[in-house]
Amino acid sequence: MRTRHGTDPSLLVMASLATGPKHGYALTKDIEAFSGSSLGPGTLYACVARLEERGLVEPVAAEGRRRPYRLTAAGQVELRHRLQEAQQVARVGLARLEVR
Amino acid sequence: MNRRALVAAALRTYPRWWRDRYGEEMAALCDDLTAEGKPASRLLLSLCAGAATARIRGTGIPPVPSLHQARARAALAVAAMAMLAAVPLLVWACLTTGDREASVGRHVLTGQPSGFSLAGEVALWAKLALLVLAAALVVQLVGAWGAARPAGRRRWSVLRWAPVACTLAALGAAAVRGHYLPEGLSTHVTAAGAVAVVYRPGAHPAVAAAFTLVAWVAVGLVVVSSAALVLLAARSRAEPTCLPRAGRIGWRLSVTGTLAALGAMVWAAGVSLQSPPPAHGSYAVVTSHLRPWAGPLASAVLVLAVLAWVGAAQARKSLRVVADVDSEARRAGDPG
Repeated sequence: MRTRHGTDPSLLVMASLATGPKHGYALTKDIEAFSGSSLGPGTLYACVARLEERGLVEPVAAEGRRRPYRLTAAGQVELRHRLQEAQQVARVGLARLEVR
Repeated sequence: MNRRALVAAALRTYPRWWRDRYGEEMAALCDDLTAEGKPASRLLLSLCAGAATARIRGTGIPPVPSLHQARARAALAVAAMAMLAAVPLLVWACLTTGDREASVGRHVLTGQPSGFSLAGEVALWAKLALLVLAAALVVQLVGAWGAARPAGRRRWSVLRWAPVACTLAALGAAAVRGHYLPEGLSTHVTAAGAVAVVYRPGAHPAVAAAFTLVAWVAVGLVVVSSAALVLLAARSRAEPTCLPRAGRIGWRLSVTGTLAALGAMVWAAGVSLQSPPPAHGSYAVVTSHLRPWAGPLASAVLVLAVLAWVGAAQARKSLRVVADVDSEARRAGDPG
């Protein structure tokens, strides 16, 4: 599944958690602020579940009904790797546009 | 019904294990978004899509054997019902070509006059896709069977290639104009493949016969796989709740449908005998009266095969988790 900007929502969730633990609402607002994409609750939690299944995020102590999540060490490695890949593609693409 | 009740109803469409794990926090998020003024329709749409994903793909399902056994049981029940319901339609599809007139490829290749009918074309391509799907289904089934066995005893993985070989043989048979799904399919396949250039229609009857013999194994595998599904379910340590009922319904559908299909064939043969003798003796001509139904029925077979495939794939996934958890538990309990 992709957002309307074509970004993988899992990447957005991990990028948002890079600044520290967040619960569902905080994630939604942060992602909306930095990417302009609005993730619905179904999409958001499908991503969280998938990331949790893969050991890339983990829950921390619940705050009432809200449960924050944070990146695991493996999640940080995965995020760094994926962002570097995206950066490489962006750098090459932009350079090629400059040549034209 | 107010907005909160609608959201609660949408959350109830998630599986129980999902609600136990994420239900409370999702409800809190929905409350926050509702208070912020997010449109209810977007929330509901997102929740329903998420629920479908959770149910079909099992996203986020924790590796608990009992959960996965229940999931495997449900998936196998769906797959078994779909496969058993597909059998009579498959018999029908194999016995009625419905595509003698729909031979655009035949016209291109042989220059023989031909017409075009949408139903015939649909029937034709549905059958072709069915062959591929049948192979995929059996691959999934054999894989699921392997996954249900303890690790280290998966000896039959070589069987995964058998249906692929059979499907290729079926296509080969069609290409050399064997008697497997004759005429229309063969001409379409030859139109698509370079084999037609080498083997002119009817030029190698012995090769065609050999291919035909093997090709029927593909159909046989689909029929046998429906029984394999039920056996597989029995091996998955599933609790006997919905599965036997699903099996009974599927079995009755299968038997009734097959008898109906064969009865219709006999009827069509009787009608044909009273008509002038056909130019080509084959089932296709004998069942010409039934031809208009070939398209919709072949499409139904296709849908059922897809359903069975999805069910078998999900069952395989769950059974593999169960096997992995079992093998980890054994390793943990083994002091050596």
